[in-house]
Amino acid sequence: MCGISCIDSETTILNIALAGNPNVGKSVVFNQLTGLSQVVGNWPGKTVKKAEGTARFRNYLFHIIDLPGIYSLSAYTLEEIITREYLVEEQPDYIINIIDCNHLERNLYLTMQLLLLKIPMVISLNQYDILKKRGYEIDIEKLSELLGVPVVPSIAVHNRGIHELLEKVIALHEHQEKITFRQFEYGKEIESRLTELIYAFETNFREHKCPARFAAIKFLENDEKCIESLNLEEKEGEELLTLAAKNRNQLEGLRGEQISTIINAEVYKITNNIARKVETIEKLTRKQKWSEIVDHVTLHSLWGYFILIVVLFGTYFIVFQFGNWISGLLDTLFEQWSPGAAAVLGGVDSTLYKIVWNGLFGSLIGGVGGVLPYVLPFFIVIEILQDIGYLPRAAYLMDHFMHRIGVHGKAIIPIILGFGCNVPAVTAGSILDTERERKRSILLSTMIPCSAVTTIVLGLVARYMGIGYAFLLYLVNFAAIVVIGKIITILDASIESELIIELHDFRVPNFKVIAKQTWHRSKDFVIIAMPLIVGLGAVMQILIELNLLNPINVALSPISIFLGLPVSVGAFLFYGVFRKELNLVLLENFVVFTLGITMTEYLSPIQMMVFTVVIMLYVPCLATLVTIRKEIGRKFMFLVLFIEVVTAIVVGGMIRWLFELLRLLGILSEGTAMLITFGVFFLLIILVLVILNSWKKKAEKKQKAGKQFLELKHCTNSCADCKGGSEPPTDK
Amino acid sequence: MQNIPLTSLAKNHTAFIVNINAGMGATRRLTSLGLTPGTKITKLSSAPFQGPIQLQVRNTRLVIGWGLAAKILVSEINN
Repeated sequence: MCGISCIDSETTILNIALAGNPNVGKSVVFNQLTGLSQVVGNWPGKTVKKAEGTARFRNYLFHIIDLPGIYSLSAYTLEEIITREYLVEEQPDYIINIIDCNHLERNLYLTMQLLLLKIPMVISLNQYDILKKRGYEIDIEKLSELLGVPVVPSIAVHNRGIHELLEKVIALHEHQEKITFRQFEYGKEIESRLTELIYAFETNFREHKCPARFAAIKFLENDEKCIESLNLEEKEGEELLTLAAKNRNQLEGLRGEQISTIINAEVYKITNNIARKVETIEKLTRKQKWSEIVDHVTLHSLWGYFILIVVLFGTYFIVFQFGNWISGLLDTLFEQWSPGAAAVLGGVDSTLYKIVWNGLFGSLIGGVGGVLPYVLPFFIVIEILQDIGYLPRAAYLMDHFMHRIGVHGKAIIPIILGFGCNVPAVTAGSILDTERERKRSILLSTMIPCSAVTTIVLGLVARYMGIGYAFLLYLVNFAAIVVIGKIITILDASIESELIIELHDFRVPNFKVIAKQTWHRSKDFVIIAMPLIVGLGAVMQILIELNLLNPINVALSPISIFLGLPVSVGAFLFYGVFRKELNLVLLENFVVFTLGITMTEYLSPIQMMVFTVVIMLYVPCLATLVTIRKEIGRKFMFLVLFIEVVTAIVVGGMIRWLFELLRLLGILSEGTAMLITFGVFFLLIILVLVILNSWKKKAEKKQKAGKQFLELKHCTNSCADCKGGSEPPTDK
Repeated sequence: MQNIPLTSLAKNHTAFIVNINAGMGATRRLTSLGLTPGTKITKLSSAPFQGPIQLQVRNTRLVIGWGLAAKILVSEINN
């Protein structure tokens, strides 16, 4: 066997890869196997999570890698590409394929592909208890016989059937003669063509790691990404491509269907056959009543939305209640300790005290107390929603609306996260399938006001002007997101991808998984955001102490003057780039202590609105920017920065100048002018949306006409292949 | 039976898939999830305003965006 070495004469090391569909309990199996030995990171240069760990069992040391959950080894998603590349390139010693036995037929589809890789495999039939509850039974021995692979029934959440998996691996390892690679045939028409390709591959690339049949299928399917990653020599590779294209065209012509349809239909014929042979109904129990009702209501055309709203507002309410309480406690502590610290550091007025205590320690308390108590419970609630299976339902309900801003339903998840903290919202963009969707979701979710921004809106606008105005600002923020989303769909007119997700039954939350996932999300905040918050807080304090704010104010004065704000807010706008939540506290300190006036004297109501809306929109904080650079790249980070700064200045400017205009027109009461300003603002937004919509329709029409023209041309060029107008043109 | 797009199939009705008229990537995705021609599917619900379709196929539940569902042709099975 490849890749086996010994640490001492006793211990054998085996590399094991866990593979399976999403949501089959793969991570739970991984946790049970590896316990505390896990290392979680990202795949090099990718936004996909990579988890590795070790397990010791008998005289073996298992290096276990938890591959991302996938449905297929084709190249549709990043996860699929990563998994396939890992399995083909790294060649683990064994695969443990985890299957949700309640969806046997569909899960076996991936198993069929894994079998092609000729890596010895053991199958874990997970969630066996649910199968029993549903009144079904699977003939384990028969399944094992049909697949030629050991099969172990398991209930991962209860740690049952987990170590048996390692036992089976060891049994295979110690009796290599028992390892078989059963090949399932796809029907005569396909097989005869595959044989030709397999022969060509074997003669040209005798030494290649990739098993010939797997490669031949990928060539026939025209899976470009996969073929590319095989790194074949140009001449032979080209020949093989031509041969594959010839065979593909023949098959497609024969069946009148796309190649992936033809092959997948064959694979499903096999899995359907196997499932029917091994599944038996013992006694059919009805689905549990409550689960059926909850399912129906959460997806209902009216109640579903009602529940979604209650869930989201409930989440924010709980989170802010809890956050305020903890935050208050920490503030009290800080104040209680302040006199002591002042005594040690040389008095309340000493520079040392201000920098070390107010700056460094204040930032730490501010970060820990001002943000973490909001972010942490927020993620816990989101993870509970995720674990019980609610979030895909939100994607289902919101898909239509999300399409309006150029993304599909899945993007609702990073957007919901964005309300907590933008940093994990950016990392959560990885649940989307393609790079383009990820970028769009990142841009939109970083425009969502996070919990730190919300504390500013509540502490400034809601406090001095009333909750209604705060609500109005949220509407302005959402309107800006919709317009930006619309503009993207016009500028980037590539075909919008559609939502395809699996819906699972609701299940009881697993708190171990929730705790782990919450930590994984919060880690981004703690590791990336916290050090920046603390460090830069201290730097800002030094700048204030040394009276160095003026250069910043002057540099930003064109913007402040354009927005009708006092020039001295410049430094605080700048500061908000680093940390938004302390922005308001520092501004208040500055106004009250340095200027000696109250906030309402410093900022008029309209200025307050403009200042806050700019803070809401202008820059995702530095920590978010750093994360974007890490996930996508520097260029995209600057693009996001540019778009959002421009949006903030345009929106802030619109509100300010509309207000000024109304005052000039003779509307004397500030309150009335303000209300009319926002009325006109929303009318303008609607107008812009209408214009953009008609623009988009025109562009789509043009695109369609162009496409029809091309198809027509194709038809006249190759009239012999073309059967009627409806046939999709085949690739050359 | 006449072929209709999946979007026109009534709620809780069952049909056979006739063919999928989508692009290469989306077709590959749908067929690898088990939506191959000849497969029996049941439409469970659809979200309002041309929202996605929820359907049952091979004992699993899938949600598919409206635009894509419109490209799946089905033939209804009469009870």
